[in-house]
Amino acid sequence: MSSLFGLLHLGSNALQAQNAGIAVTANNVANAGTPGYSRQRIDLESLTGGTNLAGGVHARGVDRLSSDLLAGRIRNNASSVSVADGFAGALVDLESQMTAGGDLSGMVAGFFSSLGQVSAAPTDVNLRDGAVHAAQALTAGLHQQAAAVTGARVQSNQRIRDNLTQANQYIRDIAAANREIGISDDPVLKDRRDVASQKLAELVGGTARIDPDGQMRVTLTGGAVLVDGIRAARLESSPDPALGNMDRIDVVDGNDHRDVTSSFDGGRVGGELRMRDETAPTALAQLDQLAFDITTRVNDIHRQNAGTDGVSGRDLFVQPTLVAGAAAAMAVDPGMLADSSRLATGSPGTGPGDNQGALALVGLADQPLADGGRRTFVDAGIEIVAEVGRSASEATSDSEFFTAQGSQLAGLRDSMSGVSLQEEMSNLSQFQHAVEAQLQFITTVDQLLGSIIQDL
Amino acid sequence: MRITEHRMIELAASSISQGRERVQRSGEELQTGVRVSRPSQDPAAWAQARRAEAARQIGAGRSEVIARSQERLALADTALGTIGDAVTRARELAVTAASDTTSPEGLAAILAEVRELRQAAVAAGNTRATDGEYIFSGSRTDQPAFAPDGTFQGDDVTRSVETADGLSQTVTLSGAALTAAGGGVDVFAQLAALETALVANDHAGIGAAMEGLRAAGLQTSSARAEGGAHSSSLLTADETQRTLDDSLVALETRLIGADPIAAASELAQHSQALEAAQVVASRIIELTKP
Repeated sequence: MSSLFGLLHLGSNALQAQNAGIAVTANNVANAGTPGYSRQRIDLESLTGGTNLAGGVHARGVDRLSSDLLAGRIRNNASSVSVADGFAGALVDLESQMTAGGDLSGMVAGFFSSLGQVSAAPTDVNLRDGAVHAAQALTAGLHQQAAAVTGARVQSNQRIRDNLTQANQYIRDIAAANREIGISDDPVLKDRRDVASQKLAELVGGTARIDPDGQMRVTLTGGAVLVDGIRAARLESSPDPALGNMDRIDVVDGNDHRDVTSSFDGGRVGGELRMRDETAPTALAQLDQLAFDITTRVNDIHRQNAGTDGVSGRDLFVQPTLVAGAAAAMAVDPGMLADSSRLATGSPGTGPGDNQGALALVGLADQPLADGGRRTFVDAGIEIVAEVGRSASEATSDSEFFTAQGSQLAGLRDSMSGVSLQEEMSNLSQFQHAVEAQLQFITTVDQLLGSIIQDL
Repeated sequence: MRITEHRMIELAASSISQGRERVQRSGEELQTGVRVSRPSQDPAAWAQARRAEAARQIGAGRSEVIARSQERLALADTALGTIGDAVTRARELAVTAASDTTSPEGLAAILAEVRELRQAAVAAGNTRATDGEYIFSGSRTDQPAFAPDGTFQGDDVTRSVETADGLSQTVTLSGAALTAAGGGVDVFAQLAALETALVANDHAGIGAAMEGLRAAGLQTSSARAEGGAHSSSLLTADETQRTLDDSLVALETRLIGADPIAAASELAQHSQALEAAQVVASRIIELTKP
């Protein structure tokens, strides 16, 4: 049978347990809006009484209500959202720069239309000057488009650098959290580590796993290790001539450098790299091919015909030797700019009023001479920009899909780990009443003891 | 499922944000009348619209070419009319001159008039377009088609222009059509022959010139008819181009334009949805107050 002192001890333990419950509730309420916080629950355990009738209760510890599996799915989804977001954002940027750089198809159409005008009056100096001006506008348009693509790549490269700087901070944060978790099993540290790993996944993707020793390990696709327990690697970017002086990305761990540029497929950086190293170079190559095709085809016809001065064998555009760089280098022949009578509008041996040369040049517009003989020049100009738009549209759809999926996962996480204020108020009320009851119990035992002592 | 107040507020905020985005998009469509302004909004529609726009641009150029060519053909028609009138009048004068009753003074007056008619006809043959080109000189448009004596100095090159994709039409007449090389007689030579016969008071020569002038008249009319046929073809091409342009405008509007009624209806719907989301959000906030 319990002694009164034993009952006092029981009441005291119970009071401590209920107070711990109030503290946990207060902590939950305080962190209700903290990103990544997982609600906690006091783990109460009834004590065996032994020979006594009752052993009372004590707080065995604090439980963190979370799921590593769900956290992993959220991390993976965050990476997918960020890849799509990064890719879509970079593409929309590229698209807006290309559309702001002028209407390429309109410039191609304008060039051939101006040659059509000359064909109606080959000796009209104003029309001839207009055609040379249209040729110059076309070259300027292609320069602008090429510069827009290159500019978008440079901006993307800068965003990659900025993201890697942030990623390195999160890598260090995870390693630091691992170190502290090895010393203290504080649930808050795990929340912080989860938040940092999610932010890291948003930036660079990769996989994070919690090993049986409780340490988080983060690896990139391809196996490069970013965090291994308390060991943190770092991501370094440096200009690489092989990438057109864009940055290559290395995982650096001590003296070990590992190039991960081509295997990088996650997070915002993965999306940016996809635009920088795939979509933009493809668009630039298409622009170069279009510039090369127009220049070559027009010059072929132009050389066979004569200007109003009767001379043939001249180029309208400066003929490039290579396809690569043709758009940025495209130029009207300087002699043509100085004297539009050199524009080869007539057949050799005819008078200045012949328009067979101009007509042959105009005819190029209707033929499928671009994109490997599949499209007209106008169509090819449209398709280059449309392809960027198509990719941007797909990436935006991907982003919306993964964002919706992320919302579902966030709902699941909230269902398990989120703090409900109403629930916490109910818990608080429950613990408060328990404390009041315990105090009443202690007071009663105290009074009994007092009576006994007075009777002595 | 357990839903926290934080989650409810997040969802409400997300609904309001999405609602605002939709209202803004519908509002923009209604204001600008454009549904697709960037390729990524609808890549296929954007590309089709760009093709239509480029085709319209090329078509507008063709319309200008057609207008310019029509203008030149009208000049040619006027000039050939002048030449034809001169030939007709010369033939009338030849008939008078061939009469035995015509006095020497009358013959002198006829000679003077024929001389003037021949010069006027040659001047008409050397008509220039507004850009200075001699319209009957073939490709040698920088020099007069006919020498003062009526000798043709140009070539038989005619000019074609593209009036549709892969389709070109002849839009000029060469002065060669008024020479023997054109398959008939040399029109100006017939006028000169009459002049020569009048000077020599050669009745047989005047008679021969009358026959030559008849052929010259027919040849001039034939050239004029050819010009008219070119003009008529151009008119058809222009009408076709205008019809195509109208179709392209309609296609472009259908592809990227916003339907004002649909846009207004969407705006109303999205505005209502946004208001509802705002009401729900305020109620959630009320509910979550301690």
